[in-house]
Amino acid sequence: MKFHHIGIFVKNLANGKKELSKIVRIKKKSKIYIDRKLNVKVQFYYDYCQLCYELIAPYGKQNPVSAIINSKKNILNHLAFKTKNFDKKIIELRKLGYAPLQAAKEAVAFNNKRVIFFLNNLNFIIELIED
Amino acid sequence: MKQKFMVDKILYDCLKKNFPKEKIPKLIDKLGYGSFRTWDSLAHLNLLMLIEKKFKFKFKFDQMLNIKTIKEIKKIVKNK
Repeated sequence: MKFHHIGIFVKNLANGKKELSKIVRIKKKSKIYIDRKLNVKVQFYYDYCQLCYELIAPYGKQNPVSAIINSKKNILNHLAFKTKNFDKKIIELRKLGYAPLQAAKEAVAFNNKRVIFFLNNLNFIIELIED
Repeated sequence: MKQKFMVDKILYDCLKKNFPKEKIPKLIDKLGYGSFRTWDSLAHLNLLMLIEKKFKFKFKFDQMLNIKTIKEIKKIVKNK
């Protein structure tokens, strides 16, 4: 698995960018992706250390972001990793005791490659992205 | 009978540990996702992971996504 990004939930992308810019020197950013299946809007920001931050904002009423924002927990939401062995890695993580949050889904922000989220034994979320 | 009692006791202890602020009723079969204010999606996964550790087994992938109640968990644990 190769580290890809840190996922952060925000109320809206503009405010998220404004706050992120206060602590991170942003080198470049991606376009805004609207994912109507996952009900999120996302944008990637890259700093001068090559770290990638994914800001994830709600899109539509059935989005997975608003409840988390309102709970004020897990705002710094996940670490994401790319893997070429997506299906095999899912089985490996399950064997390690990681719990899937949902079935794998295609994500617009990753060219419709599949993503899946797990809660790990340290009680934080990791995202697997099909490479 | 003894095994049934043990399963109930271990599940009860898991619930107590996972939801320390909640009052857990003696009859736990009807409890499930959302029964307490604190029983949200992550707390639900934490409970399933704790149960896996206590019973030393792993739920199947689909089970992990679909289990919602203690009754369903008990059925799986007894058949493992």
